[in-house]
Amino acid sequence: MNPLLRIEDLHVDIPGAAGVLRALRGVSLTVNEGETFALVGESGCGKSLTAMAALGLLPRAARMRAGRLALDGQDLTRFSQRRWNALRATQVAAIFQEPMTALNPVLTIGRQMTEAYVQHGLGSETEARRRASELLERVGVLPVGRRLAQYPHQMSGGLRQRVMIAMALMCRPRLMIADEPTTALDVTTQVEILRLLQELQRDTGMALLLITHDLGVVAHVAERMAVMYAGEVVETGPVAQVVTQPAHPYTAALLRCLPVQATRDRPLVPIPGVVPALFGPLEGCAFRNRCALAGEDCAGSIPWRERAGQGYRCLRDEVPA
Amino acid sequence: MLIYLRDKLALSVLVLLTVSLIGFALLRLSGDLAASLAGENASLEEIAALRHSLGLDRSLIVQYGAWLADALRGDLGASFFTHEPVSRLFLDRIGVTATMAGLALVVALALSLPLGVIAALRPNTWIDRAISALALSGQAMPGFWLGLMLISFFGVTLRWLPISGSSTPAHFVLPVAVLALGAVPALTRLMRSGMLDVLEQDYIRTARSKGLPVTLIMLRHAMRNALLPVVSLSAVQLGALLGGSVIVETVFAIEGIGLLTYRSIQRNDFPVVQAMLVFVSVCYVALTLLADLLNAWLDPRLREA
Repeated sequence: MNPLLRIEDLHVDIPGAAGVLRALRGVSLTVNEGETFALVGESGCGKSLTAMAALGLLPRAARMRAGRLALDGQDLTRFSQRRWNALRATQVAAIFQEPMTALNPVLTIGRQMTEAYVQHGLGSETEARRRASELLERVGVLPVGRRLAQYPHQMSGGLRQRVMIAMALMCRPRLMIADEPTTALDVTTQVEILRLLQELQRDTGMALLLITHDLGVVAHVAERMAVMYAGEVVETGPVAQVVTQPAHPYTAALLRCLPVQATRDRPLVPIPGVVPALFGPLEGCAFRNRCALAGEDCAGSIPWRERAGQGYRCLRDEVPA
Repeated sequence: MLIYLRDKLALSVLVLLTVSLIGFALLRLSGDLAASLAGENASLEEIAALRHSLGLDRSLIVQYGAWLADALRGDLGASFFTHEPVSRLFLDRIGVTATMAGLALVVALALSLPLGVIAALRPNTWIDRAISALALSGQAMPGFWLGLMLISFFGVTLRWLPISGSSTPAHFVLPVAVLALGAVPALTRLMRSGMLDVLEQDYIRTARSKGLPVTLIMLRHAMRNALLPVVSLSAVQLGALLGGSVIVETVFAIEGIGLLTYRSIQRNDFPVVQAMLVFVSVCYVALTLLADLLNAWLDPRLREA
C-alpha cells in the first residue's frame, strides 16, 4: 500500500475574540492509494478542518501553526495559491455535506460540471460536456441531456449530491474527500449514495477520505479509520478491529451511543460531560473529564501507543467494549 | 413569470392612480391658484371668473376625474403661464434629463461595483475602511452643496469646466458627477455586503475546491449572485436620479424637466407639476419592473415564481 495523503502533526489555530482556539492539536493520519479511510468524531472535533487543510481551504481566520501535509510525496505545506489550484480537482476533489447549497443556484449543472475540466486544460468545452454526460449517466442523473441544462433548484437533494459526486470525478482525482456526504439526506438516499461512492471508488481506484460522525456508515464502507476528539486523533486502525475492540475509551463510548448496538439488555449510553474548551494548550488526555477509566495519571502527557495495527493515545491497556 | 408580470402590472396601475390622486389633492391644497394667477390688483370678481374658467370651482374629485380622463387620452393640459401643452414642454426637455440620469447611473455603477467587490475581498482592512469612510462622507454630502463646491473649485478656481447650461458635453461633467456621487454610497455598500454574504456561501467553497482561479470565481460565481439586490437598488436609484434632477438642474441651470419643474413649483404652474409627479412615478414603476425582469434573467429561481 502506497501512502497517498500524509498529514503529520498538524496544528491549526483560529484566533478569535475569546482567545486563540487550538482547533487542531497535532493531527497525524495517512490515507493510502485506493483505500477508503474514514475520519470519525463528533461536531467540532476538527475532522472537517483536517480535510479542508488537505485541500488548502482552511477558513480565512485559521492559521496552520505546525505540521506537514504531503500528497504522493510532494510537500504541500508551503504551496502557493497557484499550485494549490492546479492540484485541486485534478488530484484532490471534494464533495460536501449540504448538496442544497454546495451548487451555485444561478449556473446550470452543465456549466458547473465542465468549468474545472476546461480550466485545468484537460480538454475542450465539447470534450468536457461529453465527460460530464458519461459521469451523470454513471451516477444515475437521468436524462442526461435535460439535466445538464437544469439548475440546482430543479433537483432533489439526492440528485444534487449525485451531481456533486459526478462533478468531483470530472478531472479524475486520485483522492476524493467526502465531508459528511450523506448527513443532509434521508435514510434511503443515504444508503444509495454510500453504495454509489463505494462502487465509484472501486471502479476508478481513487482513494476516498470519508468524514462522518456516523459509525454505522464507517462500518459499511471504510477499510481503515481514525477517531478524532477535541482536535486530535485518539485512535486509528483497520475498521473491523477498531469497531470490535476499541483501544480508546472514547471510541468505546461512541460505539455505545450507536442505536443499532442497543438492545433491551444493553441500552444506549450517552457520553457524560462536555468537550473541553480548546483555548490555550491542553495538558494530558482531553477525554479524561468524561472517562470512567480516568485516573490522576491521565493529567500527565499521554504517549501514542501501537498494538496489532491499532494506534491509540491512552494509558489503559484494557478498555471494556 | 407571466402571472407574476400580470400581477405586477395591475399593481403598478393602482400605484400610479394613487400617486396621481394624492399629488393632485396636495397641489390643490397648496394655495389658491386663481388668486395668484390673477395678480395682486385683481378684484374678487376677476378672481372668481378666472377660477371658473380654469374649472377650479368644481369639487376636487370632479377636477381629478376630468384631469385623469384627459391624461388617459394623452392630454396633460397646458401650462397656466405659457399656455404651451405640457407634453410639448416635457418632450423638449426629457432628453437632457434622461441622458444625465443615465450617465450618472453608469458612472455610479462603474465606481461602486469595483469598490464594493474590493472592500468585500479585504474585509476590515485599511482599504475596506477607506472605502466605507468614502461612502459615508458621500452619503453625508447633500447634492446642492456638492454641486456648489464643484462649481466653485472646477468652474471658478480652476476654470476647467463650464458651470451653467447644457450646450456641450463638458457642461454635463459636473452635474453628472454630482448625481453619480449621490448614488455611489448606497450602491457600494450593498455590493460590499452582498459580496461578503455570497463569499461565505457553500458554493463558493465548492468553486474553490475545483481549483478555479479567483477572478473566475468572482466573476462567474460570486458577482452574479451579489448583483441581484444591486439591480433592484439601481432601478430605485435611477428613479431618484430623475427626481433628483430638480436640484442639480437648478444649480447648474440646465434646461431639463427638473428645472422646468422647479420653475413651475415656484409659480404654481399646476399642470406641469402634476405631470412631473406622474412622470416620475411612471419611471419608478417601469424601472422596478425592468429590475425584476433583469433579476429573473440573472437568477433562474425567480423565473418560476
